Amino acid sequence: ALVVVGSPLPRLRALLQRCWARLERGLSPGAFGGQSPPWGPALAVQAPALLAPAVSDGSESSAEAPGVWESMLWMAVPKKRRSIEVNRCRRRHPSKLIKVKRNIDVCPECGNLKQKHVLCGYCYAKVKAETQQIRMEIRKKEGGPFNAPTVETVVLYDGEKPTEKDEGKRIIERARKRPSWFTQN
Amino acid sequence: HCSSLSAGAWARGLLTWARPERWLPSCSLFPLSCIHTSTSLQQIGKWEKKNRIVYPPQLPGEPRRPAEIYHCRREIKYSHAKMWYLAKLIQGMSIDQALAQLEFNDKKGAKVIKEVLLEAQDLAVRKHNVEFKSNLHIAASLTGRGRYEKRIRYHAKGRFGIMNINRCHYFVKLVEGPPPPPEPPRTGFDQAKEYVQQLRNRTLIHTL
Repeated sequence: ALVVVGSPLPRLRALLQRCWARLERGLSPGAFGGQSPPWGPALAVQAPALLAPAVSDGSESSAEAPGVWESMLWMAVPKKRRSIEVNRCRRRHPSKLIKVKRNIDVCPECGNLKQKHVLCGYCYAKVKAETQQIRMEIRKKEGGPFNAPTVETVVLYDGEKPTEKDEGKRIIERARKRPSWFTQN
Repeated sequence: HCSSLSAGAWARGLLTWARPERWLPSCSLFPLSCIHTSTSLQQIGKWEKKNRIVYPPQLPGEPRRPAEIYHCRREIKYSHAKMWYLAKLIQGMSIDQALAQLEFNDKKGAKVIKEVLLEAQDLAVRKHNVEFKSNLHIAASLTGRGRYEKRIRYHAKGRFGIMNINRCHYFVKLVEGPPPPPEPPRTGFDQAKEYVQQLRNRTLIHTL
C-alpha cells in the first residue's frame, strides 16, 4: 500500500517516515536472506536483534531502538516444540480422518458406481460424447457463427423420416443407429 | 528315545522362529541359480519379497490357509502424511467397498491407490490362485516416506524458502476371505468388568 505523503508540515512527514520505516523493519527483517549462501534458512519470522543495523536509516535516531523492540513483543510465537505424541493426537483425531461415505449406489443403466445425488459418471460421459457429435453436425450445417436458425432442431438417426410434427423444424442427420437412451418424441 | 524327544522339541522350538519356508524360494534345489545380478531396479524391497515365500503343503486335517497378496507402488509423487489418511480409510474393508470409497474421494492419492488395488486384484486372480476377485479384503494398508528432494521456493522481495519435493510409497496386503467383523467399541460395562477382575487378581505377597 503506497502512502502519498504530501503534507506541508515537515514534522508530520518525519513522523510518518519513521512509522513507515518501523513497520517495514517489523515485517521484513530477513531482507538480505537472498544474498546468503543457498542453503541458509530465510528468517521470515521475528529476529530483529541480528538484522536491526543492516537496514540503516540515517534519519533513525538511537532513541528509536527500544520502540522497535516493544513493537516486536506482541507477535504470537510457540513457546515449546510440540512433541510427536501431541502432533499425532492432533493429526489422527477422528474429526480429521476421512469419513466413510454411505451414499454410494449402483447405476441401474450401466452398473457402475454412482453417488445417490449425482448423475452416473459413465452414462454422463456417454451422453456428452453423443452431444459433441451432434454439435459437430450442427456446426457443419450452420457454417459459421451467428447462423443459428429461429426454429427448433430435431435429430434423426439412420432410417428415420421426419414426421408431421417436425414440419418447420431444422433437421440434423446422424449417421448411426439411434442410441437406446435417446428416445424419439 | 528320550534324546529323540528332546531333539524333536528343540527342532520345533527352532522352527517357530527360523521358518525355513521363507529362505527356500520356489527353486530350492539350486540356490545359486536364484542369485539376482544387479538390475536397474537397484534394490528389491522387502514388501516385494514377501510374495515369494512358499509354505509347505498343508496336511489333510488343517484348515485352509487364506491366500495373501502383497503389492506396493514406490515413489508416488504425493505427501506421505496426506496419503496416510487414505490408507487409514481403507484398513479392514473389503476390496469392493474400498474401491467404491476411493472412487468418490477427491484426493490425488485416491486415484493412485485405486490403481494399486486393481493391479493387486489382478495379480491375485492370475498368479496367486484366488478364485473370486471380490472375495478379498485389505488386511494391511501402509504408507512410507519416499526419497525427498530439497528445492528453493522463491518468495517476494528476493527472499526464499527451502521446500521439500515429497514422495511416498504405498503398501497393501490383500487376504482372501470376507473382512473380519469390526471390534465392538469398549463400553463402560467392559471397563467395569476389567476393573473388578483386576481387584480380584490381587494376592498377598511375602506371606504363607
